[in-house]
Amino acid sequence: MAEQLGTYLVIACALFGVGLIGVLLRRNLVAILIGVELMLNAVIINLVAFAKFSAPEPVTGQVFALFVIGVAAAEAAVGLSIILAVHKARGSIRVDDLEELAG
Amino acid sequence: MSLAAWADVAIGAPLAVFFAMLLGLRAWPKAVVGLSLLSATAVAVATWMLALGVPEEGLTTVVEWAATDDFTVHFGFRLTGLSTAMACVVGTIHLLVQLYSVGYMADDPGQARFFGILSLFAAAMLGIVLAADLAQTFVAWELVGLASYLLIGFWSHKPSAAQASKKAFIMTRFGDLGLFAGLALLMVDLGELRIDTVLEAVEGGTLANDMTLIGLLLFCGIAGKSAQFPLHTWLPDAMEGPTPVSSLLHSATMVAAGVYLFALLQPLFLASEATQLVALIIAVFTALLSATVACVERDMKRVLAYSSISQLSFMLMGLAAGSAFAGFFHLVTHAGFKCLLFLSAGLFIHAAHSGDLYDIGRKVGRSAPIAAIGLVIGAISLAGVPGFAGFMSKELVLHELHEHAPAPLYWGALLASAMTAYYAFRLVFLALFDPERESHEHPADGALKVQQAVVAVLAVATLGIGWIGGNLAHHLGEAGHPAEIHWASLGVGLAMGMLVLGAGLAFVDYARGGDRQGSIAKVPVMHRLFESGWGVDAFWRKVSDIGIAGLTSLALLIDRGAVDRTVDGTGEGTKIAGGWAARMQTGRVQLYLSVTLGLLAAGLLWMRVG
Repeated sequence: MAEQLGTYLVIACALFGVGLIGVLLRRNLVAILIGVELMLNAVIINLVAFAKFSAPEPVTGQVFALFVIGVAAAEAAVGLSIILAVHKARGSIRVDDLEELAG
Repeated sequence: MSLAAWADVAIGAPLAVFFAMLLGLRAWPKAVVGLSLLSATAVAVATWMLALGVPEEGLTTVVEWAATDDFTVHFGFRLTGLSTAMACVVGTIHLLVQLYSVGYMADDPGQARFFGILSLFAAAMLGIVLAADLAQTFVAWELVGLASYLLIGFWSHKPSAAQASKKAFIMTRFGDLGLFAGLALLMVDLGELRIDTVLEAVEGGTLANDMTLIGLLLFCGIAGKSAQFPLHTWLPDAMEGPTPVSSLLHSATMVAAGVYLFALLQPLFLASEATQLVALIIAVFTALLSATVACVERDMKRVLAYSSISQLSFMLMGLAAGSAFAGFFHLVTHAGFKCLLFLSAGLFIHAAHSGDLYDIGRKVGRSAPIAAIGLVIGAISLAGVPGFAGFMSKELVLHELHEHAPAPLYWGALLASAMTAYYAFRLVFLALFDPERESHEHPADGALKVQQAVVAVLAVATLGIGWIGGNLAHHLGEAGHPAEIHWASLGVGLAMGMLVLGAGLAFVDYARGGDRQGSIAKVPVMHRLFESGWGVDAFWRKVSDIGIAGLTSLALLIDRGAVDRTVDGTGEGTKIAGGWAARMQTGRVQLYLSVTLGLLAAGLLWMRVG
């Protein structure tokens, strides 16, 4: 397959879609977090791909990707610790059980 | 000084006293009393100067005060024989009442307020009397109403006084509605309300509106002010005020204002036979009704109040029968003897600490010589003993009725004058000839020097006032009018008969000892009817009750139906809308996210398509 932007974008889109479906449909908080990570990674692919094919200085996009990876790691740490706290408090991490805000 | 300047003094001086009192002079009661007496003297002098100096053809000075395309209001003085004579009565009585009040109110904490308002009362009354424009009259007319309201309710800490003042104000306001409507019709018609213009239009028959209607509307105001049936019930209650106020209110101001307005606009009332007849019937009926009540009332001041109503009716009879002189003359003589009667009554009530006639007879009676003389002179004037003030003027009124009114009305008036004699002598016999009187060594009214002096002066004046008829007629410009009494006529004979009948019956009932309850008490039904004032008071109470009940139930309906519904509806609506909104709030973040995405997608799609 020829090396072109469209291919990367399709792959990133698919990855984003998988992540989104995970976020919207899974009931387990950890699985939702994984979905979010997948979506972030799809974005990173986009960034890198655009940097390679259309930016005047490819390095900019790659540096940006590194930042996003860092943020994603932090987000995973914070997210997991919240999930842990929720589990401690309620003994469950299913979103169905977390409905206090229902009117 | 010119006449207009004297008129300025007459109205301005007492008005200045009132405003000085308002603006803080209240803190020095002595100063207010002093100023007030000074102004009262000035007013008396000014009004006499007016009366003596007024030219025969009258004098009118007006300035345009407010003018629009459609109508003009003037402001000024209209000095005629009638207005200056009336001003003279007001000024004189006002001075005497002020002098009397110096002693009467000496210990009252509200002394300054009292004298200030009394001055306002006089200023307002003179405003009516000297006004050149009916709009000006109307303003002063309402000021008189205000001043009387303030004075009747002067002791406002007494609930009865507060109630009486409200009653007086509201009842007269009823009549003033008619007066206002009548004046408005005249204003629309003529474009101005100058008295001269109105009288000219009446004379020339150039009024577009129906004169009967205007006359009847104006008569409403007169009936309210001069306490004619069915608006008379406020006057007896007005006795709650201090006695000098009753005296002034009954003789020269307030109630006289209505009669004066009738005299002023007499051609207007006489232009329509219907108005004339209505006025005559109401006057005769009121005279009879109030005279019967005066025959059974126990309270001295209330007897006098009902007698005032009855005498006011006599004045209106004279005026409505067609003689300006007879009615006005009766106003003047009545002002003298009624003022005297009230001031004497004040001395009695002060000495007896009670207004009840039987109490006064038992505790004071003849031991108050000056008061007793005042009472006797006032009462025989009132009863119409020949040679005394009341006889002269009442005889003229009866003569006019005989000449110009339907016979039944004449007989009614004669009957009323018999009752007048009865209650006048009843007053004297009950107050002065009680066989069980406690004896006093000292005169019971010895301490009231000033008041006694005033009563003595008034008593002498009342003796003389009956004989000024000729001068008064000349002053009014009615020199050709028969001011003389035809002593040998049938009318005088009939009146004498009535006097003897009434006085004799009073003598039999009250002067010979016995139970002293009177003949009327032997017919309990009649006694109850008279005592309750023929139920007119109860009728008005019923009317106001029904009126107020109707109003409140309407207000309740609106409150429940409109206001409550709106407020409740807003609340309920919010609750229901909130219920719906709450259902959307599931607490499922994934759902929110889905909806958000869905909307976003829809938006993008729409942008693409659009």
